[in-house]
Amino acid sequence: MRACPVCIVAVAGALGLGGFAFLGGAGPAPAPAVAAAPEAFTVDNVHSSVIFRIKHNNVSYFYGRFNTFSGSFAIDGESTTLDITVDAASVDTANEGRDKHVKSQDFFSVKEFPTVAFKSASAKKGAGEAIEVSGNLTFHGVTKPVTVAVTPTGQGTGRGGATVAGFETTFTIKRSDFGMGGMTGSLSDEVAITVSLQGSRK
Amino acid sequence: MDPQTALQLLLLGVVLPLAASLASTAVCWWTARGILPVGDRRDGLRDRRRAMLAAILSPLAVLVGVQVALFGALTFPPQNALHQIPLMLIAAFVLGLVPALLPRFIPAWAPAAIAFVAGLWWWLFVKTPRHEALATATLLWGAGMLLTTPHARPIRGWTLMVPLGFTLAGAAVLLVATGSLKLAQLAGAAAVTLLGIFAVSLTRPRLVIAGPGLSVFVAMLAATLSQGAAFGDTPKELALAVGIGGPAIADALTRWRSASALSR
Repeated sequence: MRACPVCIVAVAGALGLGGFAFLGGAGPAPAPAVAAAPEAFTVDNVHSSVIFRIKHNNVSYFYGRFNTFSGSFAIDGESTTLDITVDAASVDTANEGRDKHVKSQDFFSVKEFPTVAFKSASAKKGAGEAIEVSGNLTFHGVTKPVTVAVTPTGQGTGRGGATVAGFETTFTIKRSDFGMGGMTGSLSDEVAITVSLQGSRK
Repeated sequence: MDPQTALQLLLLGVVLPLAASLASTAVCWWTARGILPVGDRRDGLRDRRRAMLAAILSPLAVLVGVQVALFGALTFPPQNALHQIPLMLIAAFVLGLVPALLPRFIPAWAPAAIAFVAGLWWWLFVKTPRHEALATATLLWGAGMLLTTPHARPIRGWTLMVPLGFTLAGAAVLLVATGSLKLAQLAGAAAVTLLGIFAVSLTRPRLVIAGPGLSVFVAMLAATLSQGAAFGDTPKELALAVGIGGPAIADALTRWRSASALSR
């Protein structure tokens, strides 16, 4: 029996159209659902503080601060991120002579190492409201892993309708770990650093 | 400055280096006497070798020891600019040793001249703080050695050591005034170490700081001043003036003494 040419064309056409519809309708496979990264807050230098405390002669503490810093943060449980850079030369201990010494090669060596930086790598829930943020602290050219307990201090609406939020953390480092171990007779090796930041986003 | 810090500075910057210098110079002098051949007829050569050993090993050992006390264990590569200094001293020691060991092949001024030209080129074109400090130190070392090396060998005693010692002490005061106590301590320790060698040389006139010994002291002067200028508040012009002026004065005094000795 001879095949009908018209039938062959009709079947081929039907198969082609059906295949095209099938393939066209399938489309790309849907991407798996990914949690969106929390939107970061930009640090508001004017309403934030970075201060440190060190013991002198083992009898009293004195405090100093850094006046210039920048960065961003996002406080959201295990998605918390923290990226802060401090201008080492902005150190201020309310004494010009001491500031000069602290900036010298005896301590911060600010001309050689102009910034102090912390960059987070991971976070997990801590005790109470605190979030334990682990990351790398780079100070005096040395990078060491550090874990800080971050406590959110609030969130609201600021000027111009911007969303503002804040957090605070206090942690202790040993300055000898960062190559600044001089004058241990009169200054403690441990230095407590308090970072209290306010940030904003639109 | 609180009393505890002042005491620490005095101990590490003056007392310990002076004691170590006196002890190590004396030990090197008498130890060299023991290891050199007994009955060597060339007594003059034996004394010169002994002098060289004492004046080479003593400053290097004391100054590297002071740095370890101040900065902790030496690291390679250097953790920061201060940790470059002991490496500079060791390099200066080697650069001073080579012409002393191979006087026929390498004239005394050659390593200093090469370092001076290389340092000058680097100083003119490289601008990162750490490299600029190294370039300045190389430049100052080269200049200092070119000024003092031709006169170090024949002239003994106080002519070279005293002005160099005063220059190092002056550098220490300058560095205190412009910010870094550690650099000041290093320069001060070098001055005191030189004082210890000078004290021993009063009883042993053949003891001189030629070749590698001189090189180490010139390197310490160069290194501390250049770091003070690059990383502290020491004005660069002042650092250069002291770093070159001191050896220049030492050179002038040795020329004067040489001329006085010849005219007698």
